[in-house]
Amino acid sequence: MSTILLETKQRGRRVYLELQRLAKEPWLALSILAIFTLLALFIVLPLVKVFQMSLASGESSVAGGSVAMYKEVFQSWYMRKALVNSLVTGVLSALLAVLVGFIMAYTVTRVNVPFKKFFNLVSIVPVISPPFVSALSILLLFGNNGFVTYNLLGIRNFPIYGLRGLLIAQTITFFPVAYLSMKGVLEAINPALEDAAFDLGASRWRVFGKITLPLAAPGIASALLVIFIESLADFGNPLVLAGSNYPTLAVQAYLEITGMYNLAGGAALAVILLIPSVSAFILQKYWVSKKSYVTVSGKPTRSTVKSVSGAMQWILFAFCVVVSIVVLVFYGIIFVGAFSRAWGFDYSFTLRNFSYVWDVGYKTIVDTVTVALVSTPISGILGMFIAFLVVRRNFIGKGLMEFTSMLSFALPGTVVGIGYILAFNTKPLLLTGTLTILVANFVFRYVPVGIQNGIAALHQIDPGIEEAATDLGASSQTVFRRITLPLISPAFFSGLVFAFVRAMTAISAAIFLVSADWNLMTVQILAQVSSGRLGAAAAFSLILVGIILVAIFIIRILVDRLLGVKFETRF
Amino acid sequence: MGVVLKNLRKEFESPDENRRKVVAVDDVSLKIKEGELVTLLGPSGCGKTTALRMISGFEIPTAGKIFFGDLDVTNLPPDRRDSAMVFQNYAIFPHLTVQDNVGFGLTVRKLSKPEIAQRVDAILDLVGLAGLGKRMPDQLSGGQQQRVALARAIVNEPRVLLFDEPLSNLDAKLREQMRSEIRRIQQHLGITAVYVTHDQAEAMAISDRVVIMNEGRIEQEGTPMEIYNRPTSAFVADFIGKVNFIDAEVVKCVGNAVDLEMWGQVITVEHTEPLNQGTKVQVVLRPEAVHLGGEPSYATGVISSVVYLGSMVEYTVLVQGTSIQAEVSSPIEHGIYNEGDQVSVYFSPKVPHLLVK
Repeated sequence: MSTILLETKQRGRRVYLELQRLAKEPWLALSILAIFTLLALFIVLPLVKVFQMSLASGESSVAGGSVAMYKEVFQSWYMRKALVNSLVTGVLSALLAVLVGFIMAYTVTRVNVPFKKFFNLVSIVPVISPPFVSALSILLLFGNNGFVTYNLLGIRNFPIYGLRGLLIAQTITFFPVAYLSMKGVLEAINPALEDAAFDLGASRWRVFGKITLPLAAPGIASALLVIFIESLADFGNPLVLAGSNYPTLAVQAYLEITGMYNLAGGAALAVILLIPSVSAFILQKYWVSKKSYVTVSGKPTRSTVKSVSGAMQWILFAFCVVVSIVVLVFYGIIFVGAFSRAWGFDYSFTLRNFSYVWDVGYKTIVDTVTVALVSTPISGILGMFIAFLVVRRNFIGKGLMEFTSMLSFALPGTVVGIGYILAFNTKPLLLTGTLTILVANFVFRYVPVGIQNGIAALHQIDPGIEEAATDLGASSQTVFRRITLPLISPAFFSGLVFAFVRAMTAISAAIFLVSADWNLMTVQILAQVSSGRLGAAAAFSLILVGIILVAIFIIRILVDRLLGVKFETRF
Repeated sequence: MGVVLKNLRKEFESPDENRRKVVAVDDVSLKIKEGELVTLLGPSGCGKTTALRMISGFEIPTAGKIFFGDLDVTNLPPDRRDSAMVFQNYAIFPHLTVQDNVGFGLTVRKLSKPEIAQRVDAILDLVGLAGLGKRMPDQLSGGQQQRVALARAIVNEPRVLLFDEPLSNLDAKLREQMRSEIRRIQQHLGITAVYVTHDQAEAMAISDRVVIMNEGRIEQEGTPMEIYNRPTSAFVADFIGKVNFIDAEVVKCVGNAVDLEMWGQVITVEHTEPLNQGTKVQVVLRPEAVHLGGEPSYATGVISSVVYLGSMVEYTVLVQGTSIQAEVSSPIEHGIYNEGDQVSVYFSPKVPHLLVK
């Protein structure tokens, strides 16, 4: 009894000491408090509102404690089908994308083939384009007036809508995610381990099956779960390609709210969508990532042993070539579509699509760029700062801060969008229709990627370097600005790029938040696709990608300038 | 400015599931005088680095107090303490030039640019890096990086200088050169310094006083000579240099002369404290104090192994069933025994140190 008392006393003393120390750094204490407030406001509150609304009784759309809405949802065969469809699509997309991503990553890291740089580049293209551009490409290629189906094969009304089209679109959209993470995992596996297995007399297949694959398994599992989450949350591709015969949760939740004005029904669907997403997220974060054998430190060393046979080498090479051609055709067709007079009938060159886009979309373009420009620096710095706090500082509630800020990654955009309109439609938090709500949405939705990059980068930097700065009299904010941020500038740069790209291309949450005052290009593109103006949609997409490429270039220069990092003499 | 540690204690929670408490530093009290260089020496995990990190402010003690002069700094964060640390792996800012590294602390204190430049140049001169200010850290050798770390610590003119195994990343030759360099600069500036190392030769070479730590506690503190010649425990004797422990029993003790029963006969050695008849003791005998093959002789032994090291030969000699280590320097002058040779064994009555069991 007395020992328990003593322990409690000691713990109390430790908390007291920590508080005392924080009080000596008011700036740090204040920023921690501010971050907690923002996380509560922009991540937790909307989520709570969605839950509340889903428990509304009947059609009254008054938040309450009834499960009537869920009953209604599960009684409808159409909604049950939407749930099954979403899960099936998620699982199949994840498997396909990881398969493609793994084979490409394995070829690039382990096999001696030409054009590795090119494969690498091709895999990154889908990352910087709006997520539903591949859906648009599929319509251009295989749709009613599709180039392949109609012009080449002469088929009208080829059945591309539904699971088939959706899987193709999602695989192309998400395989780069798998590729990049698999490449990281495979590069981090010390080739000496594989060499050792060869040396002990193992065959190539055995080395692959007993050494390489098991070592990469946690990374593969993690990529599967991440893509499963992204596929569940995907909104643009299913809206364009699934059709009414293949309902999915994210789309049904949106239609329920915007079409039927049934807020409670939409909220209930959102909650149902949330359950598999968050489960996968927790599985990924607290189970799979703990199993990883791969250490992040150390430069990849190159093995001299050939990991695959000569024939296999060329099979893998052919696979990469095919994937690259598919990606290039998918994005090339957008280019062609943007400059064609009437898709399917008249392919002569025209700038008509662009002048149309300029007329109807000029203000939207300005709006979109404004939103991206405002949210990018906030998201970038916030991400690095939270990473810094989580890795390098000790404070009460640290675990909670990390979990909450990372959680928004697992929240499907549809859920967040519904949560935002529910949470911010009354005073004093009347934000609907403003720039603020769009910026807040983008910042808090995409900050987890920045945080994750920042955490990974910080783990590779000797804490002694920052301690040295503190020791020399620098306060926490000086250490962060002068030492930490420049040292993790590659992560900072990629965080900024990611924030900008997503602010330009995301749609699932934003579609709930746009207004006449603040509209976004992705929403407009989707509108053009829905009304069948594929040429205009293609032109719009092209402008979007152009803006992103220019922005990446500018961000690179700015980061180098502002942080004074000399990239030629990179450490 | 002196440094005082008072009943310092630090507990960590073990990282595994059962969250046991691990005591890293246990009731450590120490007074360091102004201008003194004190070494904390011990095997890894003995708590020396944790103690240093509490002095620098990177760890908050679980209990106890730390004073710089009269000022209680126990809970003061590192950036508010008048101390500067030289880190084990230098912790040089890789994105800043040498002069920006060295001038970092001055910039933080918002000194004027010309003053910073002038002080940085003076310090670079002092540590032997004049003219290298514009270089990036990766263009420097290991020894030069070490000098940058030192310069960066002393340019702020701290009242207390802390060293965390600063030479462990250097090769042997450079290590010896740098340790005399550090000693020279510390004495030149008259700065109070605490130096953590696990290398006993380094500790002996550099310190005014050595503090031997083991399992979080101080085993012994004293000048290098006291520590080596008059260890107060078997741990210290064993940790500093090589040692033979020979069991013996006190037969008689008159004044400074103690008669010991060892090796089957009575041997008289010098000892300052009175000992009762019948006391069991361990005779601490350094290998270099063992004389082989001369007169007089206490016992006869058989050489069981010979290791030739150039400047000396290490022998293992079996005496009455126990192994004794002996070192004979300048082998060319003294000749070399072979395995199986019979030799006489002797040591001067002045050299052994007695530990009461």
